[in-house]
Amino acid sequence: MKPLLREIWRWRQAYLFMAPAVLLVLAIRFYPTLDAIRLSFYDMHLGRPTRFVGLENYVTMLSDQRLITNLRITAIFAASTVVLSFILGFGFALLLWRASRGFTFFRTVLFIPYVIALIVVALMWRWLLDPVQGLLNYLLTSAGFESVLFLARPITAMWSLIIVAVWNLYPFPMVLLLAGLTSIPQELYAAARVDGVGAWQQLTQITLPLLRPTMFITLTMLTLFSLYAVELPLALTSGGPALSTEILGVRLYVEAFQYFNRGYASTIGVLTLAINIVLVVLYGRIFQSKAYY
Amino acid sequence: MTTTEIKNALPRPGHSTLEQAARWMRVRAVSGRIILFGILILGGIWALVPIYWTLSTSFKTRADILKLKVNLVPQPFTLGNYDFVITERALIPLRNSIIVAIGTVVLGLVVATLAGYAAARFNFPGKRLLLGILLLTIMLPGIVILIPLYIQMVRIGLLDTYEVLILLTMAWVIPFTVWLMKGFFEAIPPELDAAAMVDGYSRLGALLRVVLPLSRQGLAAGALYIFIAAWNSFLYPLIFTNRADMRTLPLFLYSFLGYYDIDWGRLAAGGIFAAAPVVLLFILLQRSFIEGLIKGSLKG
Repeated sequence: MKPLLREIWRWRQAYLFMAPAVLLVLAIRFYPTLDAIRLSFYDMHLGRPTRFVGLENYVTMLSDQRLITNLRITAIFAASTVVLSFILGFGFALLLWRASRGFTFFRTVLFIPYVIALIVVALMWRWLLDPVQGLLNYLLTSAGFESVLFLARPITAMWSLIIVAVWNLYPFPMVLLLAGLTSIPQELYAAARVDGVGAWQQLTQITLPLLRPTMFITLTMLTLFSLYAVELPLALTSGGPALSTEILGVRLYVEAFQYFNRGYASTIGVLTLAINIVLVVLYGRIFQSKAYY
Repeated sequence: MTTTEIKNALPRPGHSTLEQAARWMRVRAVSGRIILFGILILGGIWALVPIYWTLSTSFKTRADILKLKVNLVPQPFTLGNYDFVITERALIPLRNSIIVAIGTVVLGLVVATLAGYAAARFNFPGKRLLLGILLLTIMLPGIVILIPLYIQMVRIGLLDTYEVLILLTMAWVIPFTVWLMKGFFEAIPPELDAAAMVDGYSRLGALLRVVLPLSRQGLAAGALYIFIAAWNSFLYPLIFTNRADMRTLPLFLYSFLGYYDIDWGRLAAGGIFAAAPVVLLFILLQRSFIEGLIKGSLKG
């Protein structure tokens, strides 16, 4: 065992190659995260001197009715978006896995919504959902229904936001789960067929247990995407009507960059981070408890 | 041939011969495929309708849009909505978007290639820790870090610069791109680098002359991934640019959405204009891109 310093010197080239990437990430992602935690103990209103207030922001948070509403809305939005895009993505992945011909064509078409900028996604759907000239209301009124003010009513605005988010997001779980499916050895299914195991049981006994690790990664990423969603809700509804679609990310943006209340915004950020860690640990427990191999 | 298939294939009342049973099996197999492709086609429609409707709207005249006639093919067909995209109003945002996207792709690929190569070829002490740090950052909330970053950027006077947009986007895409490149480099036999170094190349020379030409697919996948992130980014320019002449395309479009009376034909044209490069590049490079995503994601 050589002394560590000499070892490091021997590998200096490797560290040199790694340095730019690691330093960039430490400077622009890690350090600011710690800095945000530090800022959550300060009062930082515009036009007032910044002062250390200890846990005051956290106490304020406990009695912040608007934040409680934000949390409830975030839970509804994140849960619906994650579950729906996961199911839709999984369904398409299974179909693509079974379709040998036309596989690449449909894979490409079904993936396209994911590469379109969220701002463009928002404007496409605002046009589709437009109360006067929108295609959806045209179809509704042609079929004899009343036209719906999708983005002007709290409940329909929330569901519109979820549907649009799912439309943009489902290709992500689709591709990950498709990768997981194609990595399962085909012999397992051949053997199951010889033993007379039906399609449903092949799915529940072979496919799902082997996909556990992929499902864990997919659900974790989907949860992160929907917990921190800012761009789409901002562009589609801006948190409205009457704050009915103001999820945590939007509240944080408004607090930090419209009210310039940066200490409190950081406190909300710390809360978001905590929720995220709890959920990831929980998923880890559920999906990695028992692995069947 | 499962037992259920055999059961279903057995002669039933009215099917008295083996021939009919065989035909019944074929019908089942064909109808299965019809249902499968039927669902896939429905899925394709669900994916493409919003895009098609926007594309169609972008070629309609204002009068035609206001008439509330829903015609799938624009009649009369006009390119008028694209005039504002081609006039100077959108040219500055377009220029900004191109500069930021190209800058991020070039710098990001250099940084990610070096780190990915080191991770694929060297077994240095602390490798797992450094790669772990990179992966962990994916878990950090993007919006939270913007508060302290904004304060810092105001302090050092980097607001309204290309540098800040490029740096932020790079930090966002680097972790995944490093994993992506690492996966591609691991697929290339290390003996090739060794042979190149015997011939007198340095490590960097071996990487540039031997390994990179063999990993074109990886570079394409990495470049497209970074390009999509940079081109589509909307939050960073929203927060870190104030001046109108520093706006990127997404921000330019966002400024239109606030109007009370939206000119949908023009906005649709702007949206198509912003989405087209990314969609076309994706269709061209989709094989490398999706397979690269798959390689990168499963290793992580």
